[in-house]
Amino acid sequence: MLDRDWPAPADLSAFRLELPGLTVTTIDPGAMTLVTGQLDAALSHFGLDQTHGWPGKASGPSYAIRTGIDRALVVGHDLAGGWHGAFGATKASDALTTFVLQGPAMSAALLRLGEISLTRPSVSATFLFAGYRGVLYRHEAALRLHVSRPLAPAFAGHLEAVLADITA
Amino acid sequence: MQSFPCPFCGPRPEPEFLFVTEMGKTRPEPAAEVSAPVWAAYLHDVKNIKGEVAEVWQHLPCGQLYLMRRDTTTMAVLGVQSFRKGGAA
Amino acid sequence: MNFTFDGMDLTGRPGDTIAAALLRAQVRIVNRSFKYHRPRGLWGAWVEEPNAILDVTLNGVRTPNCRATTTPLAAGMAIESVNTALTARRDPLAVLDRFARFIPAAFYYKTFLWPSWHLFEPTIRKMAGLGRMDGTQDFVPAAPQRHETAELLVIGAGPAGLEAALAAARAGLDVVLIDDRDTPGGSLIDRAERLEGQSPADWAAALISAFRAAGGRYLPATTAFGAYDHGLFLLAQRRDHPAAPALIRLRADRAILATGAIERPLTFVDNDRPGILSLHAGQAYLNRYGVLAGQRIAILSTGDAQTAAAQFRAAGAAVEVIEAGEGRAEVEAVHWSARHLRGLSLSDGRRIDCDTILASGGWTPAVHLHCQTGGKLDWREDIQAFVPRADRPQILTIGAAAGTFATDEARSDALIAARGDRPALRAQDPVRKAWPQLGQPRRAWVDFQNDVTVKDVELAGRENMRAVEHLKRYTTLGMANDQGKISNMPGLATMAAIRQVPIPEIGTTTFRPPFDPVSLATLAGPKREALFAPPKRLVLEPLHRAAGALMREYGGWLRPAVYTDVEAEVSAARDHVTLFDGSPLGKIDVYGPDAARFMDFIYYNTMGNLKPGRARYGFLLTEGGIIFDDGILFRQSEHHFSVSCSSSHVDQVANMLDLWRQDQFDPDRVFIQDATPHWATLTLAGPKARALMARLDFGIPLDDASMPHLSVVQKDGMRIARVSFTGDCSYEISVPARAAAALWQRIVTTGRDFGLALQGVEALAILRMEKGLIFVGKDTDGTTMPHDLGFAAPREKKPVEFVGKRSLFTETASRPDRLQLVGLACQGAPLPVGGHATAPGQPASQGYVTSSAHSPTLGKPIALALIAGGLGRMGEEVEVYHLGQRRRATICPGCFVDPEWERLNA
Repeated sequence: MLDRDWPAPADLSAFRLELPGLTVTTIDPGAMTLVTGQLDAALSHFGLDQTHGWPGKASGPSYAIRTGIDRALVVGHDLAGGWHGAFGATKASDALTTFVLQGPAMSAALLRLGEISLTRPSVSATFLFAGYRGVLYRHEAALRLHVSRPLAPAFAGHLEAVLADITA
Repeated sequence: MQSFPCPFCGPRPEPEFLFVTEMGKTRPEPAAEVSAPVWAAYLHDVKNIKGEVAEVWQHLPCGQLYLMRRDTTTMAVLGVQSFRKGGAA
Repeated sequence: MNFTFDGMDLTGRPGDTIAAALLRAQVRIVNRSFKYHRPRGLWGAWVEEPNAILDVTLNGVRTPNCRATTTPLAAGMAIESVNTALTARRDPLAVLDRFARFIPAAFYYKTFLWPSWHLFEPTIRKMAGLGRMDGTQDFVPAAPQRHETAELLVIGAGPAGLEAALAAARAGLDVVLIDDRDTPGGSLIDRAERLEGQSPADWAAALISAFRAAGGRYLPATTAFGAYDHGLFLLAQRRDHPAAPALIRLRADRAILATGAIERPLTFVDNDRPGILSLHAGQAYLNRYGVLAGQRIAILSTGDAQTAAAQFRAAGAAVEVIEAGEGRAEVEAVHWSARHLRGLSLSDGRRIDCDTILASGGWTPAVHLHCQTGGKLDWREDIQAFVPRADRPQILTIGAAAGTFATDEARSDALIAARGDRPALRAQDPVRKAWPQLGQPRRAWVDFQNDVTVKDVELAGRENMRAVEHLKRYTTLGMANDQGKISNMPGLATMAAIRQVPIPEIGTTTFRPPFDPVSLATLAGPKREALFAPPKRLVLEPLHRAAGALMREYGGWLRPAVYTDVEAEVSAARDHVTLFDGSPLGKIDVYGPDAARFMDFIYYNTMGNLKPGRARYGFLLTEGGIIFDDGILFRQSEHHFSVSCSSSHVDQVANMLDLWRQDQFDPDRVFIQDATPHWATLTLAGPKARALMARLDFGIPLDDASMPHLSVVQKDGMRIARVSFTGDCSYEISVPARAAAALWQRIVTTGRDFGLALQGVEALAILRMEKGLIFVGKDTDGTTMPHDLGFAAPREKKPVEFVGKRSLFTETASRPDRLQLVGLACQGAPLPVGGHATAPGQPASQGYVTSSAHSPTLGKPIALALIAGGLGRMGEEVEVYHLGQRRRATICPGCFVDPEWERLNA
């Protein structure tokens, strides 16, 4: 077995990466719920009128991000896990770690994350970042990026490494 | 690294995609009435055509299966089509 | 700028490459050749250089195999020649050259076959190879990587590339122009060719300014080393030595290749002597670096060399120009003595005294990138060269790379290409042929670095290694660092002469990336070491570490292997109760009106009739009938199931479900969502688990009627399931990850009264083994079907269709000698995992041990094994063979502890 001494993971709630023109932090965006099924029914259940894709322009504490043809991530709303007549809900508040990227070097950061650009929109906001599945979109003046919590410590290290050469 | 269009998400880089199967295979059923050669062909026969092919691919981030026509000699993507009712593009 | 070469203190100038500095310091012998240890000097001035591969140490970092002609000199560099026993000047292995006639091409293949290559390999390896690594050094720091896009990528900032890039940018395109030099101008600078009354540097700088003003992006010091499908180009952007170049993945809608051409050598006797350079390199050293290659220069050229000659004369050299090629006098000897070039003799009787020979055998267009994308080549008789065929719709090649050598013609073609049109072919004045002559009495070099001579190519021809790809591998022609940039064409031409066919009938070897060697650190980028394949982390990891857990990787998760002692943990689970972190266990939601029918199709076992609140163990198969995963399926409600698959298979199972859902079901009536990462799962197992659960008081009835084995309840945001992987009464409590630490602490505190112990994965592996419960992939292999494990009922009785069903009834699936899972009992130490079972005294394998351990519960070794027909061979003796040892063992049922399963409800 290829054993390796893995250091204890850093506390990501205190994660902060200061780079020229870019600050990366984590936030707790509140409750998160993954919905799948009839998205119209799900949205009206939550009182939302649209889903955002990439780059999108989500704002405020409550919104929905499109992650597939019949899937969305609802931020700011909790719902019991299970089948709700027209859609299924899966609790995700503790499933995802949310990184926030902010600053004039956001576009430069995107070039290091993957083949992704603010000028090339996509109906869905899910991507693979060097093997990490993530949900990425614009939220007000920043970018929000959700990755699976168990991989978030590794992804934080990935961000530090791939953004290391960034310049404003 | 190729760039493939997902009918839902649009163009994305190749690592986001999974080849699933050649188009046109139907699962033979019920098992009791399927001969061994028919089942073996379903499991193992791959045409592996040089030139224009129709294939089922999956875009992993959104999970959607779709039909992609492409040319295995020029690597050109000739077209994509969703399998979903009312699916985008 | 001071530096050392093989211990000599030397001085160079800012802007020098290592090669320019060595030439400036009049170092003629820079290396030894690979095979014969012949002294070698510089041939080229840029990427075509085959000889000057050097080890460079700067600031304590040793970088092996730097090419002198492309590595900028830095003050303080300690430079060493490679492939020498002492130094480049004095190499005792040069004696090998005297035995050259005994070590022709393929000598090693033929000679060291008997008795075994492995006998000779260590010595030969030691003599072979180029630079030396410093094994004590850490990895070089990671190279940055980034993506870029462009509407048009122009490669090469020579006159053609500059004009094309500027015109396209002015037309409004998003243009990226890259060039592998630090400054623009390309061959103009090498030739000191003035344009529009300006020096080439000024002219190029002005075009770059205009290009940038028009919105263009210019990336100097950047090499396009690979061209791939769908417009992707890989670029290496140089950084200060010794940092590995940055990698740029650039996707372009279109590309214009203005990559120039590479000068061909002349293949005469002893053409590898130090002091023989390409004419172009001689000009480049003079015009770019201000270094005169020699004082008495003989130019041997198939083309017009008067301009170059005038430049050398103006710099103070004595120059003689000699016409070379077909119909002209041949070089009969190169005079070399006391490690210096002294002159040459021609077949017409002339003898020319010189210290330097500058040779030109014509030009080979740099077609590499065109070919890497699958582009074909056409032979042009006028220039005796292959040029790109017009078969790449998105890629245009212009200038010398297309065989258009005149600057004015290249520039006007550039304007056509900038518009997206393909310039017409321009016929050139026919060049004088200068291909290698067969049957020369002495050696003439074709591949300098790998020591391949015309004689070697002739030998390959005699031994029928005549196809171009055979020729390459048999002689190693073109396999050196330069990948045949200067050697391929003379090699092909030689083989064409041997076979008496035109050169295009020989064809070329395949052009593959990289065009130019690339550091592995550049390709690897930051995703390496701890970032290469990082494990998933448990939310409770800090608590596990605080409790002294040894953390190890299991199926992509970093988990507690053991806290204190594996056997003590096993005993605690059998005698009292243990707490285990089962968070990685899969929790995949399946919802919708068709969910029950879907589960019946997905699982080997019948699942549709499961009642809400109940659970069932089952198998997921591939269509080939092989066990893909196993686990518990929970039915949460009428239209909601939760798939508890193996911890290491969650992503694969979730995707498998999604594929079947879309392929065989109405995807609007059944939906999949992975819920795993939201939850932490704490498992209590052991005879006191139920009592501890009662004390913890979750407000649910725990009696067997209300909550039997294989049931699940939801309570206060928790999911409590009664399932067992140890054979004892066991509960899985799943809570949102953020609530896990508090619950863990509460259980630990409350559990003290019950003798609670923390239990790691290693103890679980024994507990489940004692019960004959499997790990898929460990106790099953790529042939295992459920009936091989004794789960035959669904195969015989389940009426509806399910994944893999038909495969369970093939001839193979019905064989009596299939590998079946059984237990093995033995005396002494545990059996070796992987050991093969045989009939006593027989050699043939009948299966193998899959899991093995000492059972603390039974005080004896236990093992699981896949044995041919094993389920029908209970009590039979076998031998287990492993690494020369044979052990006796007896086939027994796989469940060693509590075969009646009474402890489940104890």
